[in-house]
Amino acid sequence: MTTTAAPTVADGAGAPASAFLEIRHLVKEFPVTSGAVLQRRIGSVKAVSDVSLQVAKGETFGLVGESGCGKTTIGRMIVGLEKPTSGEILFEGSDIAKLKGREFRRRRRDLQLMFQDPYASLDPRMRVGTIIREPLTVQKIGNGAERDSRVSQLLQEVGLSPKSADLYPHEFSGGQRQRIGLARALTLNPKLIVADEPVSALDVSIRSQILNLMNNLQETHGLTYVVISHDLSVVKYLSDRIGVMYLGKLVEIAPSQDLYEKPAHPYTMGLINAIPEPDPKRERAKEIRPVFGELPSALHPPSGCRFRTRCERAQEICAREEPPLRQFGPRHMAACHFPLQTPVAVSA
Amino acid sequence: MAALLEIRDLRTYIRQRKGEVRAVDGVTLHIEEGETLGLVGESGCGKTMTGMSIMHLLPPGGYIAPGSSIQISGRELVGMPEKDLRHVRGNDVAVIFQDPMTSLNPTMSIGNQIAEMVRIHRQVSRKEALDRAAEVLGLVGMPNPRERLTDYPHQLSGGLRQRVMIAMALSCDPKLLIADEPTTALDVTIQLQILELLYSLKQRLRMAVLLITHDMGVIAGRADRVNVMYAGKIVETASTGELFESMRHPYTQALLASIPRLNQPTDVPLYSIPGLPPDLSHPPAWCRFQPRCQFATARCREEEPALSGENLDHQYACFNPVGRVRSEPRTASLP
Repeated sequence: MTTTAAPTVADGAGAPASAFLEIRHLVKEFPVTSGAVLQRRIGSVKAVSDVSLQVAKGETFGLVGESGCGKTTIGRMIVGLEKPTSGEILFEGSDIAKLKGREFRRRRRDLQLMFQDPYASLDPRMRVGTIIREPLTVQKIGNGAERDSRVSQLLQEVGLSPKSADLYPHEFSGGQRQRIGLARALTLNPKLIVADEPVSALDVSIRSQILNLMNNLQETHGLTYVVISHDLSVVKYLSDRIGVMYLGKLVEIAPSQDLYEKPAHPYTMGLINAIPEPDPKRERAKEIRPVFGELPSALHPPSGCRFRTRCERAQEICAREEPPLRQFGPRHMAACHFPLQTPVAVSA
Repeated sequence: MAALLEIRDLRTYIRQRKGEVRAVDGVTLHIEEGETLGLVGESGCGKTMTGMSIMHLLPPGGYIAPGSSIQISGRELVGMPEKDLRHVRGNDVAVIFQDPMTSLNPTMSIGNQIAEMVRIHRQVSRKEALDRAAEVLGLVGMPNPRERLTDYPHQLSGGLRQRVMIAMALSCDPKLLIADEPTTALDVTIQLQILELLYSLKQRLRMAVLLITHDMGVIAGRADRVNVMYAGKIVETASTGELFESMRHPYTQALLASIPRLNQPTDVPLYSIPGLPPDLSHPPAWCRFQPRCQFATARCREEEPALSGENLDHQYACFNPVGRVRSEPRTASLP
C-alpha cells in the first residue's frame, strides 16, 4: 500500500494518479444574515467543510447522509450549479470550478444532473420533446431534424414511446417522469451524471424500474455516476464505493460491501442499524439503541468531532481535536478517535 | 368480545369532475385492544383514506357510502352527528400525520396547541391543560418539557415536531392511534427514535395502533398483523411473521421482491412490477392486479377474487396464489 499523507488525500491506496473526478478540500459556505431591511451577516454555515474524494471512470460513487450533511451541495458544485467557496473540482485533470464563459459551457456537457423531484423538475408548460431537446438548443448542437431524431432515440432508450415527445409532463406518472429526467440528462452524451435522490419520490415498486434502467444505461454508455441519497439501501445497490457525510464532513469512505460489513465510524453503524429490514425475525432480534439526540446547529457545529454530541463512544479528545481520516482497508478511510474497527498500519 | 375497531365493507368515494374515485372499495378489518395493525401499500391504494375515514376527515367531495360500518368499542361512527364524532376524536381515536410541519399550527406555541387539544375534549382549566401538556411532552421524550411549552413549531427539528404531534395525540388517552406514515419525512436515525418511542408508548398505555405505511421494513419490525392494500381493496391479511414467511398474493411477493436490501447481491437486476395500478374512477369488475400479474389466468380477467384462505388468520384475494416463499434476497425471475 502506498503511504497516504493524512489528511490531505481522502481516498487512500489504490486510487489512480489522476482520477476521473477528484474533489480536493472542497468548502462551501453560505452566509447567514439577520434583519429584514439591513441584512447583517451574523455568521455562516459551512454546508461542505473540507471534503476530498476521488471517483474513477465508469464507477458509481454514492454519497449518503441525512439532512444538512452537504451531499446535495457537493452534487450541485460538481455540475456547476454552485461555485465552491474554496477547493478544487478536477474533472479529467482540469479544475472545473475555475472555468468561466465558453469553457464552462463546454465542460457542462460532460457533467449532467438528474433531479430528485420528477414532479417539480420538468417545466409543466413544455412538451416532453422540447424539454429533452433544450440542452441541444442551448448548446447549439445539430439542426432541427437531428435534434428531433436524438429526442426519439433518447425516449426509446429510457423505455418510453417516441410519441411521448408530443405530450406534457402531467400526462405521465412519477416513474415515467423520472425516465424523462434521465433522458434529458443523457441528451448531451455526458461522461458523468450526478443523480440526486433518483428514486426517493417514487413508489417502492417503481423504484426498481428506474434503478435497473440506470444500471443498463451505465453499461451501454460507459457512464460514471455520483448517486446522492439519504437511502443507504438504494445507494448500496447502485454504488461501487460510498462516502458517508455528517454535517458537512466526510466521516467514512469505503467500497460498498466493506462499508456494510465492516463500518468503522459509529455514525455509519447508526445509519445501517436504523434501516428497517423487511424481515420480521431479524428486525425483532435487533438489540440496537438508536443514535440519540438531534442534529446540532450547522451555524455552531460541535468542536472537534461534529458527531460527538450523539456518539456513545465520545470522550474528551473528541471535543478537543477533529479526528483525521485513517485507513481501515483497501480504499477504506474513516475519521474517528474511537472507531469500530482497528485502523491498518500505514507502511512508511 | 368485540374488537376495539371493527370496519365492515367500508366504501369511501370521492366525487371529482372526471368521475367518482372509489378510493376505498369494500374494506373489512379489525383491530384488537393493544394490537398494532399494519396497513401497507403504495400511493393511491387507499390506506390513508381508510385511516381518514375512521376519523371522518375526508377531502372535499369525499363521502362514506351507505352500507359501510365503522365501530369503535361497539359504537357505530358512520352516520354519527358531528358533535358526537368530535368527542370520539381525541378521546377514543387520535391521529398523527406524516409531515408535522404542515399539521402543526405555526402561529401557536406547542404548549398552547396541546392545551387546546386537551380542552376541546375535556372540561379542565387552562392551567390544568398546560400541566397535562408538559406531562405528555415528557412522556414523548422531549427534553425540558416545561420550558419547551412556549416554543413554536418552526423552532424545532422534524423529529421533535413529530414528538409534539404524538404528544398532542396522546393528550386525551386515546385507545386507538392512527399513525399515517409517521416517519416517512424524517431522517432515518430519527425515524428509529420515533418508532422506538411509539412502540414503548403503546406498550405502556395499552394503546392500539393502526400503522399506515408503504415501508415493508417498518411493518416487519413493528406490526403484529398486516393488511396489504392494492387499488382500494385488501388483497392479503396475516400475522406479520406469517405474511413474510408464506405470502400468498402475487402483489405482496412482487412488492417485497422489488426492494433493494442491504445484504443482497448487487449484480442482479431488481424485480420490477410492470404497468400501473388501475384508474379508480373506473375500476375493472375483475381482479385489479391482473394486468401486472405474472400468474394471471383467464379467470382473473373475468371475476374478482374474494378474500379466502386455509384459516381465518391468513386470507388473500387470488385465484392463483403463490406457494410457500421465504422472504430472502430475490433474483429477477420469480419461481
